[in-house]
Order: sequence, then C-alpha cells, then structure tokens
Amino acid sequence: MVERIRQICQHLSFILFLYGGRIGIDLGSSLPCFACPYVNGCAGHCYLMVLQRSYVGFQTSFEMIFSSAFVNILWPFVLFLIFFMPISKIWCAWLCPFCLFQDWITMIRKKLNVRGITMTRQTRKKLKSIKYILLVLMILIPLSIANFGLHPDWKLPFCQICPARPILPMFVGDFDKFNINMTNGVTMGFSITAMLLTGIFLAGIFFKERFFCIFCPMLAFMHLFKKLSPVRFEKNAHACTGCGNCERMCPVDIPDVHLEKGKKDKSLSGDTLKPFDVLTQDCMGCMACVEACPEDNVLTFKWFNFKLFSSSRRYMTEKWSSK
Amino acid sequence: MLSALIKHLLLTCLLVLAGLLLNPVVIRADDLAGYPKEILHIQFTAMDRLQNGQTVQRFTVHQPRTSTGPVTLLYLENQDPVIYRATPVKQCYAIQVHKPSCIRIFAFAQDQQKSYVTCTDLVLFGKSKIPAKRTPASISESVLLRGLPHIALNNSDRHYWHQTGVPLTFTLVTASQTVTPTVMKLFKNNNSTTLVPEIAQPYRFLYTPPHDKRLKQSSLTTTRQDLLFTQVDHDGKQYHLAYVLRVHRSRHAHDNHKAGAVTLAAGSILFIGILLNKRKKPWWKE
Repeated sequence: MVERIRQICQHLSFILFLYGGRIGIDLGSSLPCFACPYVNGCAGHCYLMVLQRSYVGFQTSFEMIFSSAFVNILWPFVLFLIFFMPISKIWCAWLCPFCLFQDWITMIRKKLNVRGITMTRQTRKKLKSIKYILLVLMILIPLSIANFGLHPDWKLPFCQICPARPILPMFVGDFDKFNINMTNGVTMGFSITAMLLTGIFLAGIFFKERFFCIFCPMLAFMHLFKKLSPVRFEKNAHACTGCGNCERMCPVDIPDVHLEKGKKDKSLSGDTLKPFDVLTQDCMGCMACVEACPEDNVLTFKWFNFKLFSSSRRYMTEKWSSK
Repeated sequence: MLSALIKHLLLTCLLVLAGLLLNPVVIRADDLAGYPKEILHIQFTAMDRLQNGQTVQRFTVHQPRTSTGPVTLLYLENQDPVIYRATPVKQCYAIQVHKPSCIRIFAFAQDQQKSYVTCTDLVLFGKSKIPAKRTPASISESVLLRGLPHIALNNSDRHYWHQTGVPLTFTLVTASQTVTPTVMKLFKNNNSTTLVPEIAQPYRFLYTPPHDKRLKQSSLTTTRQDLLFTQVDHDGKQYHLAYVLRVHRSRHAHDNHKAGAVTLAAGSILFIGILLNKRKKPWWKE
C-alpha cells in the first residue's frame, strides 16, 4: 500500500518537474531534489545548481559575500529550507525524478531475473564520505573561480559531472548532452569525467538499487538540516527482535536501523529504552524498512507527534502473503 | 582491493586536476592595434554587477584620427521610444540598467568632410528595483539619430549571445535608398576581409564569425570584437559606417557525440568488468 502510494507520488512528481514548465508551472530554482535545469520545459530545478552559481551562489567574490549582497545567496537557501522542512528527506524517495529513473532500471533488472548486489558494511562505510567531499568541492570551486582566478570553465562543477544532466533530458527528447566537449582542456576533462561517471552509474544502478543515491550530495546537504524538520524516524529498540528485515529490505543497505540499540530513558523506571531517531545520513525515507518490520510500532515515521506510518505485524503479513 | 582502486582513481583525478590548474589558459584583452584609424570604434571593457543588482557595462570610444569634434553617444533601450545619451567620465562611458535590457548604441562624430557612425547592440541583465540613472537625449540629438545611416544587425534583440560559427545578417540602413551598394570590410584579429552583399538584396551582408583559438581557451563570457566597416555617400556627405560585433565562443560546435557515446560505454564496461572480475572474491555480499 505505502509502496504503491510512493510510486504514484514519484510518477506524478516526475511529470510535474520535467514537463510542468510547458504549462506555465514555475517552482523556482531551490528544489531539494534532482529536478534538472538542463531539461527543456522543467517546472523548477535542483538547489545544488544555485549553490554553485554566481551572484546567487558561491561563485561570488568575498567582497560581495561579506556585504548586503549576501541576501542574494541567502534568499534561495531560505526557499530551499521552505521546501525541505515540511517533509525532510522524504523528498528523495517520494519526489525525486532521478530516484524514479533508478527505480525503473531496478524494475527492468528484476523483470530480467538478474540478481542485484548488496554492499558489505565495510564498503558502505568507505563510500559514505564521498557525497560530503562533493558538497565541499561544490562550494570551494565556485569560490576559487570568483576569488582566486580559477578558470571560469570550472563553473557548475557538480552539474558538469552529474549523471542526471545527460539522462533526464532524454525524457524530453534531448540526447545532445551525451558528448565530449572538445573546446579546451577543462571542458574536455569535465565532459570525459561526466560520460565515464554516467556510464559507471548506469551500470551501477542496474546492479545496485539506487546506486547513485549513495553518492548524492543533495542527500548530504539535506542531512545537515534534518533537525529543522518535524519529520522523525524513530525506532523503539525495546520491542525490536533484531530480525534484520529492515537492513535486508533497505535499497541502500543501511545497517544503522537494524543495529541501533537505543538509549535508556532516565525518566522511566527499569530498563525502558526511549525511541531513538534513526533517520541516518543515507536514509531517503522510502519506508521499505517500516513495511518489512514484523513488530508493532518498532519503526515509526512521525510528523511532529503525528504518526505518518508505523510498522505492524498485520500489515507486513498481509503485504507478503499477497505477494 | 576496492580501496586500492578508489585510491588509484582519486590519485588519477588529482593529477588531471593539478595538470589543468598548473597549465592555465590565457585570457587576453581584445587587441585594437590592427584596426584602421579612420573608424570610430567602441571598445568594451568591464561589465559589473553592482550590489543593488544593477548591471553596468563600461566602454571607451576611440575617435578617428581626423575627427577633432566631440563624440555623441546615444542609445535606445528595449522598445522604449526615448533616446538616452551617455556622457564619458575620464573618457570611459558606462550604461547602467536595472532590468534585462536590449540596448542599441550609436556613436557619432564628424569632421569637415566626413561623418562617422558606429553602431552596436548589447544585452544586459539587471535585477534591481532601483531604476538606473539615465540622461534623455536633447531634441536635436534625437532628430540627428533618426536620419543617420548605419549598419544594423538583423534580429539583434532575438540573439543576444552571438557565437562563432553562427551566420548573422547585417543590413545597411539609410533614410533614402539612393546609396550605392558597396562592399563591406571586416576586421578581425588584426586581419581584414571583404564581405560581398547578397545579389538579390544589395543592402544585406551575410557573415559567419569563424572559430577562434583564443576564445576557445578563455571563458564562455569572453568576447572577440569583430568590426564591420563600409563607406557610403549620403546626402552629399561621406559616411564611414561601422558595426562592432561581440562574439562568444561556440557552445556546441565542438561537441563530439561519437566520443561521448564511446566514453559512456567505456564507463559501463569498466564497472561491469570490475564486478565480474571480483566475483570470486566479492566486495559485496549476495
């Protein structure tokens, strides 16, 4: 049921973000998801592009940044927070067009009966930091262009290598982004990197569900502000039997939900454990783990104190018996 | 094994980046040395965005050697019927806008025998609620502009980003059609070539700005100033007409789609290769 609703939301948002501009919808340039501005007729686009741009982002001189003009950088960020805060990282698995594209590839793999891969915890741990490195470079490189004379063709460094840039425009009939730009060394370096990464990610997505999300800097950026959102993902460790379904069902193999033991609640007597927030840095809020949890109220998605979705034995039994 | 691969890839990337950084491309200013001295020439310099969101384009006007009188610099903004005048501060002119604007600039000077008219178009993107300061031209200046022969770029308001490799059409605009059709000279990177008018339309000239190594090496916003020049006799007076065309490097002319497809395939094969090669000692669990 929840999975079905999520898929409907994903498809509707895909149509809205990629084609909405053609009927005059303009959601601005501060969306917390991979709605790519390189798609002709898109309804709005990813905040990461604004973050790297001149004047409204970090490709701005220090003189401008430390002046009243800073409001130009702050304003898109405020809009980003306005979009982000109500639903937090639920944007990723429920509304991101690139996430849906990855889900389509996974669906094809499953139809072809090709077995996917699951990463070990060690591998996951090693890859975790890459998205933060990308995020830092996304700020440092534009700053270097504006202040330290780095060649201007380094502009929008992440957009230039982002696999969504060539892939998403395909859905409006634009295949032109698959190319090597031979203009000069910098453009050539970026476009070769972009094409290689796109190839790697296309193959990676086929074998590993949501492979790109492991490296997504938007996820890292959103995680920095997750406490500002009323969305909570809590685990009641006291009632957890440790079956490990949550880790097995997680499309990005997050072990933290399974491993979280919780902390003792000092306000309560005995060994009572207080619910613990398990919305970890890689969690996209797809709720696959909640659906797979066989215990009542062990995993709960909350919006303030209102329960959005909670694990239940009955739900899990019905879901799997129908399959 | 995976960590070694990642380390190797990171090291390669770092070396490539270091190579690019240590071998910076050169951005040179436009060179005026080769232009003929009998042309009134506009030389664009910096474009700045002010803290209040207004945009300023600065430029200088180089007078012909024989002209000693003052240069009149007038401009039209968007479809606005009002004509504005720009006045120099220390020989530097500035046009300031607070909203996206298509601007057509006319520079006019004369001596006893000849008149010099140079025209150019530019698009500036201002973003401010504070209106930019502009000085309306006097009535006599407005009348002067209306009858002035000049070279115009067709549909200049529709193509604000002129690129090398894209054909452009220029028209010789005069109040009367009695002007003898002439050839137009083109000055580019200190070289001059001749443009011949179209046979069916003797006042129209087609020009495709060629690609340029210097532009390719610099940024997308760097421009080259090509100068189109012609002489006409009009109302018993000789006019030296010029048009300053600013062209950027081409955005897409150097895209190689075949190489892109091959690199894409190489990326996929690389990933699948690693996956298959490590099957015996997997870095993932099944």
